[in-house]
Amino acid sequence: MKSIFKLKTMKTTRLLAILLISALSFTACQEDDHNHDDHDHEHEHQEEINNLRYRLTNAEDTTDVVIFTFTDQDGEGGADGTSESSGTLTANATYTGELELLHEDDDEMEDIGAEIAEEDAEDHEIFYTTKVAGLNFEVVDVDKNNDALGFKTNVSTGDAGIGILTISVIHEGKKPNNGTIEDALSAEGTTDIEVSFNVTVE
Amino acid sequence: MNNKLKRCCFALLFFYNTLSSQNCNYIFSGKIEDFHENSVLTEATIFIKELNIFSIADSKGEFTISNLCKGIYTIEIAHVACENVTAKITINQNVYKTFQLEHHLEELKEIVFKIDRKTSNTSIEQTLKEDVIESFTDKSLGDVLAKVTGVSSLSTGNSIVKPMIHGLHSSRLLIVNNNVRQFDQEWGIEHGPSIDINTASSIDVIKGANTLLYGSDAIAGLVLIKRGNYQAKDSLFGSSSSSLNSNGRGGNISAEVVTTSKKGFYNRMQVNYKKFGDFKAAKYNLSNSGVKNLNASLSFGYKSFEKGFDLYYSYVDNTIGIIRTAHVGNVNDLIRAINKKAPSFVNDFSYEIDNPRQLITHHLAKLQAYKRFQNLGKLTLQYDFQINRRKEFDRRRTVLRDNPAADFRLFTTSFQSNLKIDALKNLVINTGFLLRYQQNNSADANVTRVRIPLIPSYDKYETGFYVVSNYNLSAQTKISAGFRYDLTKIEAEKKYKVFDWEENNYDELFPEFTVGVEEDFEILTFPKFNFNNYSASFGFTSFFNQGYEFSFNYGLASRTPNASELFSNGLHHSAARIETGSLLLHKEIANKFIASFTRNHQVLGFSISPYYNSINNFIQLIPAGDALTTVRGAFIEWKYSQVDARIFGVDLDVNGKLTDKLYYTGSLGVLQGDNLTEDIPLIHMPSTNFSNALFYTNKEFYQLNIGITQQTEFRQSSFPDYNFTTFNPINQEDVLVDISSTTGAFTLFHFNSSASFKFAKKSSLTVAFNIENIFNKPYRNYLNTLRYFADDLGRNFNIKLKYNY
Repeated sequence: MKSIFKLKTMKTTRLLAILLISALSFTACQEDDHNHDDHDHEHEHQEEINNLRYRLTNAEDTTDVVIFTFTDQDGEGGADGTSESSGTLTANATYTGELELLHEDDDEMEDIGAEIAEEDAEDHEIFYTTKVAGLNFEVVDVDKNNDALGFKTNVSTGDAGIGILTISVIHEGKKPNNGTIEDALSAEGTTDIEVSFNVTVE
Repeated sequence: MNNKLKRCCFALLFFYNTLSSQNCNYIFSGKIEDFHENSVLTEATIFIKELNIFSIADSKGEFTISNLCKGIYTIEIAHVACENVTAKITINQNVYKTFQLEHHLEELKEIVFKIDRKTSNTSIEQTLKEDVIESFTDKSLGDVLAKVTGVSSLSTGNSIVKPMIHGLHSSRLLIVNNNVRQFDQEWGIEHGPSIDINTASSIDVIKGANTLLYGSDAIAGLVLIKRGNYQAKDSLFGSSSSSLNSNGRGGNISAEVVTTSKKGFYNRMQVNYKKFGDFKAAKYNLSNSGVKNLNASLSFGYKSFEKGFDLYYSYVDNTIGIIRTAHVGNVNDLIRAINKKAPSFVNDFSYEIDNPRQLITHHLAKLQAYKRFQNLGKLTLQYDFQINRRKEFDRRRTVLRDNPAADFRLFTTSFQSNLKIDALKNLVINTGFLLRYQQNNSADANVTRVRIPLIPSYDKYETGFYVVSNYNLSAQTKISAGFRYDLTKIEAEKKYKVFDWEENNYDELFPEFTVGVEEDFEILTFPKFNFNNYSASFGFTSFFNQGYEFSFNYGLASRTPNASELFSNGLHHSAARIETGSLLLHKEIANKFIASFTRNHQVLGFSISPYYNSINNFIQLIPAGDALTTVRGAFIEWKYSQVDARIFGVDLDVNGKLTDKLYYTGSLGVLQGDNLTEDIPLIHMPSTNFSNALFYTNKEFYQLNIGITQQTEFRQSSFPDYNFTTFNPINQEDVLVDISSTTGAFTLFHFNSSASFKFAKKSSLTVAFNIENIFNKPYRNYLNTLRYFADDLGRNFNIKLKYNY
């Protein structure tokens, strides 16, 4: 009777196969089942931006401030978010604009916009689109590559008009681009934020 | 012993009598002995080819097949330790024969039963054998199952492939892996089964709700993944194989080593490693579609007629990339992708797998033991557990890149028994019970940075009881009937947005689920549900001369809504959708009728199998018709809802022998699915498809096999229209979101060839060369959820080597 444990009857190929299996199984076993709590708790970055604030200050009259706010307190899903503006823009004026992206809940407030501007600016770009005649947005801040970023803007208004202002944050879009969202999204970019406001110039 | 005897290895004893009559009451009985020792061989299979019936020798090596008609029959006798024996017998009276089989101690080969042994005597099923499975070593379970007529794939890209039987998938389709029901978060469309097909030696597809042994909820059917039996002899054998592919520039290597002993012990180790980089559609790279996969399995056991045990463990580790352009920010991104007709982002080939990706590990362990009791039957007890860990990474801001957006750990353990009572003549009864506990642990916002996980943490308790009996009315006619009862209890811990909780009226319907604590616009709830499920089956099979066979099956199945259907709550970036479950769902109840008329014949065989499945409270996930406004823009809400549905169709298979070496196979699948409540078609139903294959095979010349296959899928013209319009705030206009339109028809051609070379007495090398999608046809498949974004796979050249030793 042949014994299965007699190594000398084993062919080299079989030995190699056993070795291969052992090696691969060993590798497989090394992977730990990660703990659910093995993440860094120091900076609890939030995914969700539930508060967007776009603040326009008249360059010549600092009391002329218009704030566009989008809030979705319960986050994505649930109740729809709401957009509102605090007033109307003055015709034929210039404003400086500042955009804030926040996560706010009962016990904390995180300035996600500041975090993006500091650490992740090259992967983001903010666009302001409107069809109101004469209303123009010029991005004045740049990322480390000297490409447009969009948290800071110079805004000029034309004659009186009513329309829609859409603020979009494009993630991993084409940078630099020709200044249009279409071009920014022409490669692998996706829309991270897209909110619209009614805007009145008078 | 002389060689001639060795080759024939049987001796026949005939007892003649010329008495003749036309009735069908003859009995063919006999005994199976070992040629050398004259000891009896238990568990040998005695198969009558013309009637497609078999009997198994009992503990005395004896068998009886009754109710035979007058005629000449071909008998095939198989035993795990012996070479098969074929003999012709003439029945014109009761016949008793002694067969002697020879143990081939020198021949070291894995033995798989050559005879189609049905899972249940009367079930309508199709079996994928080892040679078919071997040609799919570097593909997924869903890919190999799609070879079966009536089975389609519901896929997410090319690496996540879910099998679909007669238009139904996920929880309606039971996958039984080595006698353990697989639980791997099978509820989601983008969750493929975590199974390595290299562990299988055969796969049975049962197209009905008829096998109650594994559950009462097999509304679509069952997939049984099986391993072969080994001979009880001292041996050591194995195989190594490798596959290389041009598309994806990858492949797999795998090895298997088996040791067996004469006493009945066996030991099997198997490992498989697979790696692919970006796959290529006909015209462009599918960036980030790579896949990496490491699987290993171990089994150890002892098998004898009287008792035995089997210890099995398998490990699956998958990393699956999802094409980068399939991550869209909102509805407007989705429209842009649909209108573009090609991915907007195509990178150079890379092996790197970036976000979006899925990391999945699956552990499965089983201990099974059986003992036979004289004058009763066989008692089998089984304990098993599974751990499935799934992490899904989305494209997110840099600081969140390493945080999975979803992270679930599903633990399932069960204990079950089966008593097979086979001491009664012509009647076999299987009865047993099941106890199962399942726990899902969803990582909270600390890990995922998502406030409410897509699926909540929950505990689920199941208990079940069944009786299934098979009765032989005559040698040609068998009937089966069964009953099963299951009790399921689910206890979840889930946060809802207060708005959703109140909007769905849950605050009034289920006040007992909350303790009234609200924080951050969220409410913590503890939903609890009990479900009682009854299921029943009836089957009938009759065999006729010349290989004709008729079967009819009826199955009543009832299914508890799964965790996804009840509790789903969250965002899927691959289709800009928010998925919402419903606490109002009832159990789904299906009545499935399926018949099959088959001729098992090499020269001209066929199978026609019509079916009709009537499903009450069919749970479907459909677009709710409007968009939700979030800070990201608009999303489509997909909701689970219930309707009455029916699915009917026919599967057709034909095989023929054109010349000695030229064979033909063809298949056709036609299906119609209707939502009867709203009088519209059901979503995601497979379209009519057919295939033709021609192959040349020459057993004498290195087992040469050359074949060409044509595969056609028509456009699905029967689909529900869930399109809607949304406002595009960039261009400031209303646009149509066409998420419903189906993809065009396509025809693909494939080439395959293989040859086998013997080296030494025990070694052989099999070489295969295949081409998939020969003409590099660009196409999209309606049942691929990423069809909006990119084409399916282009041409692939494949070389496979397998070395048996």
